Amino acid sequence: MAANHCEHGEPISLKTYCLLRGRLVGIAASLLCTAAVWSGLHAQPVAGPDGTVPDFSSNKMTWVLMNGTAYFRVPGDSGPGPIVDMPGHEYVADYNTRVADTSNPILKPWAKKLMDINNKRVLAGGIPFYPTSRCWPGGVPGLLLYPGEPVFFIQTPKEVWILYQRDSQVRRIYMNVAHSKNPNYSVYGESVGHYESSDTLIVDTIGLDDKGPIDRFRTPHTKQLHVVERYTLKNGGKNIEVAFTVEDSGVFTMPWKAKVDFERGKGARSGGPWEESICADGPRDYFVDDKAGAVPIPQAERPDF
Amino acid sequence: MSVKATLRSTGMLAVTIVLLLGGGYAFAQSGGLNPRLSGDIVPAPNGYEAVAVKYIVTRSTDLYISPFIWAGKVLGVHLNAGKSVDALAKLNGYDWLLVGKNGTGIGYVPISALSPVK
Repeated sequence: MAANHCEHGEPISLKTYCLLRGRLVGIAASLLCTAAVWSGLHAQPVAGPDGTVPDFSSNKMTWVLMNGTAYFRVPGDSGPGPIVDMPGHEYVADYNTRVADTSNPILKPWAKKLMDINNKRVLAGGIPFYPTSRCWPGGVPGLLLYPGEPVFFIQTPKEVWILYQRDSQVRRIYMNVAHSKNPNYSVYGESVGHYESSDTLIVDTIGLDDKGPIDRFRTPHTKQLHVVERYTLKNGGKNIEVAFTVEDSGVFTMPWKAKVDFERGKGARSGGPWEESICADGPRDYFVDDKAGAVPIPQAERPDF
Repeated sequence: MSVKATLRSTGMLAVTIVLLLGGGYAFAQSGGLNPRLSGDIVPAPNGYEAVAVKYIVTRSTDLYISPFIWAGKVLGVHLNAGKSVDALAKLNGYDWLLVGKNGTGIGYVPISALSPVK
């Protein structure tokens, strides 16, 4: 019994055996681990058609959102574009709150009504709901609007990880595979990707739950949401443009396109050590104000397991 | 007549009575339920289906203007545990019920906060 389990108190011979066995197991594990890491680091990613892979991650590079917390029109796109500020109510950071232009034809009637009610409440002085203000995860494409804190990329042959310092949120993109037939619904859904060229990564995401809006105008979405993102290096690798297409026949009358831009982190955001940034929904509601229709702490409708 | 058939016909009779008494239902062109909604209540994204009429609140809850907690409450209304409510419909694709008063929808509640009256 003692020899089998290498517990304390066995004769010296068994101790020696256990010591040796432990070392052998350790060496074997180290070799296996080293081989796995070596294999992961040096296996060749499936490159784009021109044989090269865009490098979003070299030299511990970080990226930071540019130009504020709204989506922009994609240059050259003749479609309706994303929801933007209501004319006459342009957003100014730290001064007012976002009010949506619900005349955008992308909105189905129920979604327009929902956003009109929220506009009315905000214009009356109510507190608008932003997922980030309650430490909710951003979802897709919502997390593209995380301001300030840096974003990191890890590129391996089979996966690309996009890591957000904020609350250590992680998106995992599985490369060169098809979507599952019936993916589970989750905040970040199921993302598959491929390299389109030496400067562009394509990410296709489905399986997104509907537990938050997709922007700071409180645009809703359903579980039918389908997002295709194009991460493209610009300006000699100094910027990333993320142009994306959104489809959700439960909310939108048509697909629409938008984009955000990232720049290389500067100063403290330039690629220093990963800082712990905790943002967890707590038991206190700092926005308790029934007149504003404040949002309560989320409660699961059913167990996760 | 089997128990199952009896229950089924009883359920159909209940829905018919509700309809005849002006229980707030109309039928949309698509054939689904189309309940009346008070001013600030948002129509369900995917329509409605019939449910049992009476429910008891098992967990105190707010009423919501849509089946999304984040999108806002019905202002000034709160349902305490033990209260009896009329459910006008279940939302297709969502575990939420439309709660009504005098046949008009006044807000949405997660099913988990309610239990049907037996």
